[in-house]
Amino acid sequence: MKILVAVKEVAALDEDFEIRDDELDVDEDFLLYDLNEWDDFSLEEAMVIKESSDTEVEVVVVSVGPERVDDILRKCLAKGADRAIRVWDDAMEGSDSVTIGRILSAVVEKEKPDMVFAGVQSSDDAAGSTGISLAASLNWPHAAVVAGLEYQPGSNKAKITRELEGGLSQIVEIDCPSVLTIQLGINTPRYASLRGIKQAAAKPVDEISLADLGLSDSDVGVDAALSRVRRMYIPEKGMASMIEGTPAEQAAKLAEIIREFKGE
Amino acid sequence: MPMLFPPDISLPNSADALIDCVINSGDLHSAAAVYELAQGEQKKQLRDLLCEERRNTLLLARWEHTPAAVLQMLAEIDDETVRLRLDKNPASRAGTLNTIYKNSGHDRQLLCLLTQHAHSSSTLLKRLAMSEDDIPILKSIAAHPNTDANTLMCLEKHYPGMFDNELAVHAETPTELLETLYQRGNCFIRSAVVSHIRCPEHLLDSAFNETDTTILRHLAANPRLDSEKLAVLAQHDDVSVLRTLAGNPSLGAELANQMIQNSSNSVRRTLASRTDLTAENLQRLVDDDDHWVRQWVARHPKLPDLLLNQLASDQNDEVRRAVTRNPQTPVDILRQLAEDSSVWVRAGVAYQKNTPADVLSTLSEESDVDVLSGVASNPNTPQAILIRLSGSQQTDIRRGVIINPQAERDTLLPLLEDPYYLHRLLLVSNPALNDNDRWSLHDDPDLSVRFMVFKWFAQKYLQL
Repeated sequence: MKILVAVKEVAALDEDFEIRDDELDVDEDFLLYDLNEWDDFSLEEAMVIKESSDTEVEVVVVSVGPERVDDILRKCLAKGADRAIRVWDDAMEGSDSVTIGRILSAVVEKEKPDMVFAGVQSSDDAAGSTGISLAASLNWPHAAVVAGLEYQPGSNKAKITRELEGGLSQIVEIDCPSVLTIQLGINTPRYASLRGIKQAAAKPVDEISLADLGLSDSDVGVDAALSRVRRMYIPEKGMASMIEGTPAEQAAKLAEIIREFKGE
Repeated sequence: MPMLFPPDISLPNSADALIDCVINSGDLHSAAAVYELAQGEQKKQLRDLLCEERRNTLLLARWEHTPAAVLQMLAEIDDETVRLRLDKNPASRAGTLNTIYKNSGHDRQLLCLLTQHAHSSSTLLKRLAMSEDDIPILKSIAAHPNTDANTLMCLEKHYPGMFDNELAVHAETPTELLETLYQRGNCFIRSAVVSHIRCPEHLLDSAFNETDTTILRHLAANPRLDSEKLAVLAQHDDVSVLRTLAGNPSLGAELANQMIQNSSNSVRRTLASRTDLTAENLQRLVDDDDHWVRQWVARHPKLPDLLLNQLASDQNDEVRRAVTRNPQTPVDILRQLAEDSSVWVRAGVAYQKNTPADVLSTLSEESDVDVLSGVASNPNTPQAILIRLSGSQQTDIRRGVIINPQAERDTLLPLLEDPYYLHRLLLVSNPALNDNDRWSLHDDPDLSVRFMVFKWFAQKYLQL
């Protein structure tokens, strides 16, 4: 039995940053890289299934990205994932989430997992579409924003709880294999043990190329993408004024502003 | 994370060997930790390592733990973004800020940040006050605690009335300027002047005749008020004035005891923490209907055992918890509360420094994380129990053991491999461990732990 967990290296912005000269992204010097927060929960969910199962469960993490991405894959290995796969080719630069979904679906066809987990969204692009694109590429059942999961390895059905707007929850039975996008809070992600981290440093990360997946340059990258970034910029800030004075004066002025808004 | 240090490298036996170890590793954060210790060629090599990539320079300029010596070195780099980050970094010292000023080229954003930085010197602030005419910049200078009296007077002279809000609350504002501010200020300015430590006596007299409750409330907090004025204010009908008065350390036992019958809960809550109450009035507060009053009085340092005993049976568990937090609570009451139905109360007993070992042993059999965290951090807990708790799955419980001043080396050693990086970081400076124990963390996967290890050894050599 195998669970494939799709993970992503996300870029967090420093407090102050500069946009690249081509205005398509932030200057890399100002980015801090880490494992996407949602993916930490996806991996934990796979690990919980693995550890509570009587049968053998293999957890495989996969990511699309350059060599730098090995850091987050090793983090996943340190937390207990059995194998890590990194897919990259320079031609993949500029791929959008639909294209990434297509690349991941080729990995799924190669690995033949029984379940696929992904995060609901990534904290940098926040498109929330990679997992769903992957399911569409595979033509697999899928469920988004999964906040609870009951699944026995080998079962052809899973019971999931989905988080809806307005504080609602929805319980859904889904056919397996399927793609689930996992929501924050579904579990408590573990810290990797020191021993695990040191062992993971020596573990190999399987590198897979386009050819290994039966894909060509024309299937990936900016030309194959269905959307393209045209410009990234910092919008002009709206007008704001500081309320000056002692705390008491500030409170009085604030009360005056509120009264004005209320039309008193 | 790639391995930065060769495996099994032993503890360096000199400052030079420590620095060489860092240089050979190429580890950025370890290099920052030992930079101050290095001299000559080693320092140059470390500087090259720290500044090799702009990305790293930017990272260090922003990091709040970057040592002051590294920040000073970074200030010499001709990079506006680096300067901006250093200007925002709370760890930047006065010398670094002076360098930024020297190289700022009158960049308004940099100057604004300089006037807001806690470590800007009075000399730099004075220079900025003399050379700038930008009102927000001058306002920041007027509000800066390091601005001296001469500079404040200078600002008032050139911009009269412009910075009254800042000057009225500034600790260095001279008495004569406070008088001016009081005469021309609105009720908020006058309130600030009345609260000022340098407020002249005659202004306190003037304020006493005011009718505005904001001014009277600030006046009521002033410990320099004489007993006559305090007595008059005690008759005031505004609750906020009375509540402030109840907290005035100069109020005196007689007035405090008179106010105990006030109908306002907030006034009695404030009174409940005073140490000058009579036994009769303490009893009255113990019997108070408001549970916040009883909670406050339960932590009173002079509460007789009889009253502590009464509160230990209070129906409100927050009150009983407050009894457990009172350092004067006798052991027999703690024993009684260790069997309380509320877990929150039992956790209070677990944290109490007077709780005896046998009670802690009993509490250690519980499953609640708050109770067990208290037991883990209590210096009276037997070592065998600490060893057991150090293997807990709960992060908070293991942290309790780490911060326990009585935890012995053998108890702490397994925690050097704790999965939570903050625990390993805390252990670096733990006095129960020896240098070899600390050194075992030098190749920790977490950058902040490595930084702390090298900083610890660098400080040790600097103090030699």
